[in-house]
Amino acid sequence: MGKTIKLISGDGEMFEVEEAVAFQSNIIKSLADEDNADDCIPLPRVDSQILSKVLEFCRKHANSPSVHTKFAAIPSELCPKHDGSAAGASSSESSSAHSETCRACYDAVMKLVQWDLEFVKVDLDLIHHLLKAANYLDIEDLMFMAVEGAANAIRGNNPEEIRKLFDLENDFTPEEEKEILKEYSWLDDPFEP
Amino acid sequence: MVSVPRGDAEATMNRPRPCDSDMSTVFSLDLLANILDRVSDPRDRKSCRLVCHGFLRAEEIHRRSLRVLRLEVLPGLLRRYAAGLECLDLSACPALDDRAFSAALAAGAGQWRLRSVSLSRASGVGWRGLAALVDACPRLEAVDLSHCVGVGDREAAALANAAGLRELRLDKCLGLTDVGLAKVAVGCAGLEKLGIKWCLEISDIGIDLLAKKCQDLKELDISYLKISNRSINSISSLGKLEVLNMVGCSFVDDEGLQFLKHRNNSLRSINISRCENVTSSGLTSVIEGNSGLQKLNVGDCFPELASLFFSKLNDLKDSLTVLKLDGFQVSASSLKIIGLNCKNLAKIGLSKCQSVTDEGIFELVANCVHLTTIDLTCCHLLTDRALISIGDQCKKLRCLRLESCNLITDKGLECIGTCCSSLEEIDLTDCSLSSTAMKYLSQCSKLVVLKLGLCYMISDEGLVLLASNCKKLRELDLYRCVEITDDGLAAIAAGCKKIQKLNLCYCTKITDGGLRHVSRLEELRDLELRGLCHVTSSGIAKIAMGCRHLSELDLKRCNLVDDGGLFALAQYTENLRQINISYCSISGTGLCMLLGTLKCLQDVKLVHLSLVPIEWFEIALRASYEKLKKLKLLIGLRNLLSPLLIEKLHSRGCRIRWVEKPFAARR
Repeated sequence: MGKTIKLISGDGEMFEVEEAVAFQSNIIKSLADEDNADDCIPLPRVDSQILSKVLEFCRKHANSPSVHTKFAAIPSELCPKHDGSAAGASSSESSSAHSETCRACYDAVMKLVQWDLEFVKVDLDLIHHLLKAANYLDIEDLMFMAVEGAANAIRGNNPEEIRKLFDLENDFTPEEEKEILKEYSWLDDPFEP
Repeated sequence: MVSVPRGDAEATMNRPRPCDSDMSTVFSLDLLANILDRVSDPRDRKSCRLVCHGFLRAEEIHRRSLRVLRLEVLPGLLRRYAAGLECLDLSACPALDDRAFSAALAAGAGQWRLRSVSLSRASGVGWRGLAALVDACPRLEAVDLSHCVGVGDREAAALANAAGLRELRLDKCLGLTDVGLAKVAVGCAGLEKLGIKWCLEISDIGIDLLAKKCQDLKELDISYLKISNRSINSISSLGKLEVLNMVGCSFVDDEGLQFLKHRNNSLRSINISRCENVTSSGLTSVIEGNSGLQKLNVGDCFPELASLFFSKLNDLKDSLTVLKLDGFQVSASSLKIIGLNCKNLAKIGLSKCQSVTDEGIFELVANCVHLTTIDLTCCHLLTDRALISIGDQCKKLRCLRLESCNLITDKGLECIGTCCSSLEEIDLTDCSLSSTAMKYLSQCSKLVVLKLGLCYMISDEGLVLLASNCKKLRELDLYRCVEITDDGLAAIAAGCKKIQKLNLCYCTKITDGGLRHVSRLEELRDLELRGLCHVTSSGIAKIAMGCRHLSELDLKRCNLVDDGGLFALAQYTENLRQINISYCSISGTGLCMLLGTLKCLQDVKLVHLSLVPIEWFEIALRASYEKLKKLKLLIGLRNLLSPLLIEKLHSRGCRIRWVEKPFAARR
């Protein structure tokens, strides 16, 4: 086990995790850099239930940081096949080039995406908490996937179903609804295939 | 249910709602906008608008672009979206004129953050409207006025006041002269992209001033202009030029192209096709010293390319990705040289290169394994062997054009179907294929565009195979596939739900039953049904009720279709923009109903409507002259319609085509 970081949730529970896991949060990373003596970082705004979910995500992503938002690939030195023995620069261009030709990396990223999609198939209340946590801790990939999870809840549903999911009231009058339908039928929505 | 006091609808919508404060404890408006950004399907977007006020507002603040189809909703929509809107497309908004445009801009006065506006084909907009646009939108960067044939120097002067303009399309603005171009060049010195295709009044003088004033130009389209070598000299001073289109510049020859040598690597793409007075040496000088060139289109200039040209391609070996040699005689050895020199080639155009052989293709693909697009239209000598070579080597193939390659058989497609799993588009018009070919093609599950026109042997069985796996199909062309019956259409309607464009012309076995199946294609926009002699108004009515997004419909020679069909269209297909009802059995009532009711109708073909008396033509056209842009009529009507009506049509920018057609049915 490499160097670890101690995190304290808002309700006082302690989580000890590896640096590679914790440092996916840009906030935790910068706090750890500052506080050299005390390796215990308090996170008052995240409670233990959410923090454990967040760390579950980060653990899974430890080997492929920012795979959704920055690199769209696994850096070649972390490739499961090549085991860190790949020569050459680790710039993002060569990473994506590497992933394009390396079957093992491609499969690993695909598996990760599948896992992520399952991870965010939860009720919207939890997604909302994950979004707040991802925002507060500045974890780009978690933010990306949580937004995706919320968007997924919307796709394919009619307005009433969406209201149920988000726990909302229909505050339109019948006249307003009619006007919206009328006006908006003369819009061509640009559809990106 | 939260109760909402009645009142002015607009004020109601803008007041802070109790729902908004609920929403902000769950999802902030910004976050919600972020989430809605990922929701791209128009049906989902429509659902979102009706959820609650909070969702509607999130959509309003996040929506960056808008395309409006009708004039009367324009002010309301713009008022709602003005704060965030960056791109506005009014090219499909019928009857848009200066007054309406200015009024619509006033709706969002002071708030406009518009960067890009498209007024392509909006023939009613002139300098007043453009002046209002420039005035209202300080951040304006891009304007598209292409095909507004009345636009001229006065309009250019209005645009010249938009100092921040970066992108301007004035293609086919026939009124534009050197004077107008000069005003734009001086006023918009930061211009980066300019299109003045077909602006025939422009001369070398205009281009010279343009090149002097707009040194930041990156993209320039001067196709079909009557400019000479002098202009090319002027253009060569543009140090940042990346894309140059000069199709059909007949007054330019090799001497002019010499000026394009050694442009210091800024040039990325050049199109010098159809320049009749250019020879091999001119084309070769374009390559010299422009080693960053990625796209080269030299088609249709002259028959024979010298071998020096091909060996010079070696200069571009790292960068060239697109090469179009349409119309040239290209030998197998030339293709081999291309293959050896340009290994990174992604797109190759050999359309109408009639001497291309299987051997040539073999040599080409042996080295160019990254090819994604191969155009072999009218390469008559090619056989299945060429397809096998392609399948073996080009695994990334996405688009393959084989129109009129009559020696191709089903066997050739076996390799393609198995090996090219990324295939998205394939054109097999006029190839001798049967349903067995469909068995192989159906393995390409990513297929989006499939053209099988004139493939007489394709039967329902083929369509069933296709529908079983090609779920992403958007465009299907079955022109004259006469063996197709209603059953084949049933399979397509069940399996290929995303179809937007469907051509069933002269598939004479199709009846109303088949159209009932087609009506289940909810995304259908473009439907061609020429010559379907068994189809009646009942079938058309079903289409009208089912395909609500229908925009283009061709019913030429569907002689059983009468007023009933038109009534249904008038009632349901509100988005219909283009219709051909030539030779249909409609009467004056039907015509008036259609032309009078459909607000978006712009392009109408009305040849040989023998049951419609002249008076009814007059009434129908008077009811619709404001929105029509294109009209096709029998020449005999020219003297029978009132001159006032014809003048009114012309004044609104409507182009009338008078044709002389015999009544006899085509076989």
